[in-house]
Amino acid sequence: MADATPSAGPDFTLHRDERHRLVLTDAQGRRHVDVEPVRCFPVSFPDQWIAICDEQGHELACIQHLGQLDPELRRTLEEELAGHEFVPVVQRIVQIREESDCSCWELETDRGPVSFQTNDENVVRRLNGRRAMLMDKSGIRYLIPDTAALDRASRRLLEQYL
Amino acid sequence: MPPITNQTRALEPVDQQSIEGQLAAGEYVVARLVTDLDLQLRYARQEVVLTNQRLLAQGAVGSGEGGGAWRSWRLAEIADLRARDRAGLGRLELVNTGGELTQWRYTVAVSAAAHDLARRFRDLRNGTYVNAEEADEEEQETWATNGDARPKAWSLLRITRFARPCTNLIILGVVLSLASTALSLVPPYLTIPLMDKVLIPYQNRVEEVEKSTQQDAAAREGQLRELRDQDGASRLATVAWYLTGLLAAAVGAWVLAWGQGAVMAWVSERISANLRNETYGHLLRLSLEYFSGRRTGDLIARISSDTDRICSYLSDTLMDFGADVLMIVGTAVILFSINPTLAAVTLCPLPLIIWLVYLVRARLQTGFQRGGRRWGEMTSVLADSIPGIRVVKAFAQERREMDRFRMTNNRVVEANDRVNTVWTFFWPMVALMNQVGLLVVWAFGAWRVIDLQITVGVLAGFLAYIGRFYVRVEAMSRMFSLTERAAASAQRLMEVLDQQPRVTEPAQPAPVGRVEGHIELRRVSFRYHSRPVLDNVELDIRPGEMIGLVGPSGAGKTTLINLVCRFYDVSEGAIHVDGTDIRDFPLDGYRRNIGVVLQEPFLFYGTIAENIAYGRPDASLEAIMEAARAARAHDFILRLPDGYDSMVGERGQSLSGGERQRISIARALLIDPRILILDEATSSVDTETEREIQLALENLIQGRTTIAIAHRLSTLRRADRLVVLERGQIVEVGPHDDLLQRGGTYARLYRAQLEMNRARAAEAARTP
Repeated sequence: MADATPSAGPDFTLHRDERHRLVLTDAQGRRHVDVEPVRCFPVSFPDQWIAICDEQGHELACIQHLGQLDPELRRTLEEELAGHEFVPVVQRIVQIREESDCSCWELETDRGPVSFQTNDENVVRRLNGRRAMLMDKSGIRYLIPDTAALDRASRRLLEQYL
Repeated sequence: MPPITNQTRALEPVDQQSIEGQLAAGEYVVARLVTDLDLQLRYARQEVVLTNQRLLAQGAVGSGEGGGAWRSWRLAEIADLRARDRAGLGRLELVNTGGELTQWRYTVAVSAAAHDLARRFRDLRNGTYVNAEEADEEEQETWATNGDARPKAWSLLRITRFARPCTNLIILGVVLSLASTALSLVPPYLTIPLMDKVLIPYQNRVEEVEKSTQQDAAAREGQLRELRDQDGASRLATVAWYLTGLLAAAVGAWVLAWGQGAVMAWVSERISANLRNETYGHLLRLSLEYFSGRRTGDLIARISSDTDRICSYLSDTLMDFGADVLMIVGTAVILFSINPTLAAVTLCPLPLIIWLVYLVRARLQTGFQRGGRRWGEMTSVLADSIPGIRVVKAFAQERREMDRFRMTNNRVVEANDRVNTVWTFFWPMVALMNQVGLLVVWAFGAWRVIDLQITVGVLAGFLAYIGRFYVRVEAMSRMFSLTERAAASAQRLMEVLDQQPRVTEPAQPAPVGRVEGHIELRRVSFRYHSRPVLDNVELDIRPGEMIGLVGPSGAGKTTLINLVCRFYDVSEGAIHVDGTDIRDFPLDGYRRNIGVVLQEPFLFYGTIAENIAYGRPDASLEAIMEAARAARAHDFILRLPDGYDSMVGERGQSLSGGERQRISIARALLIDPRILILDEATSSVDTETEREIQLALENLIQGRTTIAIAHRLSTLRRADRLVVLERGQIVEVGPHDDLLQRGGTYARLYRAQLEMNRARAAEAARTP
């Protein structure tokens, strides 16, 4: 079989080659060029279970926790993950306009102000703890790390959708 | 003990002794049937008894012919005895060795007993009869539920059970409501002295002054001014006191009514939530058989709108009812204490109203029930067409679905119209009665005042009371229709709650841990509403063996796996796992050993991780991923934008059939069952997906006792033994190669399947 269960321990090395591609060398010494780290549980447990996949999307290795890794490797991985991910963190909800068939959200995020439309009635997804996530029409997600930490006006706006 | 079927108890046939008298020494009853039709298909009872030596039959009772004479055949004289059903009508046929035919006819109601008798006859003749007492529970249940028709209003009383946790608050509500009502009775009482002792004497004195002082206008003016300044001022102070009392009573009644309203709203919200939980919980415990006979929408309507109706009834209406009764009784008492004759006249329209209420009661009752039923039908149409929207659109049947909905919707309107005409007529009628009542009081009162029997104040007080009184009577009559409506809802809920699960927990459950996986089907028969589906199936499945079920559709394959899962209980025979009858295991303990992968994998709305962990919510992330890897689902899950956190199911990320299949395989793998039930999809998928699913199944089947309804050739080849079912019976058993060589049913089915695959492959090759 092509993929035996990948081991969770760091029995592989990861580095960038001269062309800045991520290269994984497994326990048998095989080199896999241009691999990509993928969070298995990006929403609920973003720092646990990071799979390293090859170009075809087959899993080569899986890291149980980012914290287990040596700082060098961890930095490389986080850098790479950050390059793939775009999840603005919501700092303030400016306003929500209800239209007949969609709602229009205006947000301030850590990546700057943004406004989007959505026609999904379940625009807000409650996650574990007090985390919540918004998703717009195009599938971009906006994270609210702590609903209680939002200012009063934002909380009141959000309340209607929770 | 000779076994006696329950039929005798149920139909109370010919008395016991006449049969006993027929039996010879050493002869005992094996089966007994009381047919319910004669040969002309008219209702009549006729007894057929099978003993270990003979078949006895008594001439028809009730049809006038024959009555009571016994005929008998020795077993050796009987060439064939068989029961056959068709469209609700059955016939038991006996052919004797001389080729002579005797028949008995019956309806579905007793067909189970007829089949039972015929089977026991075969057993006796083949020497396989075991003298075991097996109560036919199915019959027992149908008969038990028949006699259970409680009056409707009781249903509403039965919801008091759900009010128990809130008893204290309810008492508080009642006390508040009583106090508020009592307070609202005070104001009219205060108006009597206000008139008779304050206003009218004053007016009288004014008139006296006007009469006694005939002289000049100026002196009269002066005297009147004096009266106003002295007597008037002091009286005004008294009026102020009375008015303060009136205001205090009104404010007090308002505060108390507010408190009562708040308490009751809180309580009724709890009660109806409780009711919803209880009903849904009970519904979940009911066996599949119940659901297959119901419409989803109707069940949803019962749990959602019926409970809501009861909730609003409890909070808005029921509390008022107590207050109204108190008000009416209190008013009556006060009226009688003031002036009995006037009181009697005042209350005379009341019996008329009560009679009216009685008259419309029955109409409202049936009307609201009809409305409720039709509402359920309407939601059923929605619950039917919305999940099937793809089919609707694909066949461009939106208009037809709209028509179907409009039709049921019209039926709702029509049902409501009918009941609406009743109560819309009724309320104004009550209002009219009130007006008439008021006129009567005015007329009678005026006469009494003129006759110097009562004072104007008393009459005014009466009129004030009577106004309130009839407002309450009117409210009560309105409430009355609401009560009927709520009772209809309660009835619909109770119907669910009264339903006993057909698949029951054993009284003394056998311990079940992790089973070995040895499954024995011992002479298993299953009838679905008297329609035989499985007949005398014998099968012994070794632990870890893989069985492929093959056969044309309707052969009983699905029924067989449903029986093994214990979604239904066998009609006859038994299923043993590791030597214990599965009916002796606690249900959840037993089912925990079973993993099921269905044809149409169902995903709940939630994340992929939650869906995989459905059977084991506490599973670790690692275990979930491990199961997904083994099910060949891990890689495609990682390709989704949210990985294992992707939302799937209704409104979620859409997955392909093959992907859903693999998630459901992961779900089964995660609970690591000893017994695996596999209902393979008939639909073909592309070869790559097919390969992935095949690999996933390989991992799943490994080391588990597997029963698979097999369609894929690879599954057929992989199975240790194939069981070919036809019309509810096993016709062939054996490994793939053996059965192919035998050239029987299986070989035929296999070749057909092969043909189809080739045709599909050719098709696929043609289309780019």
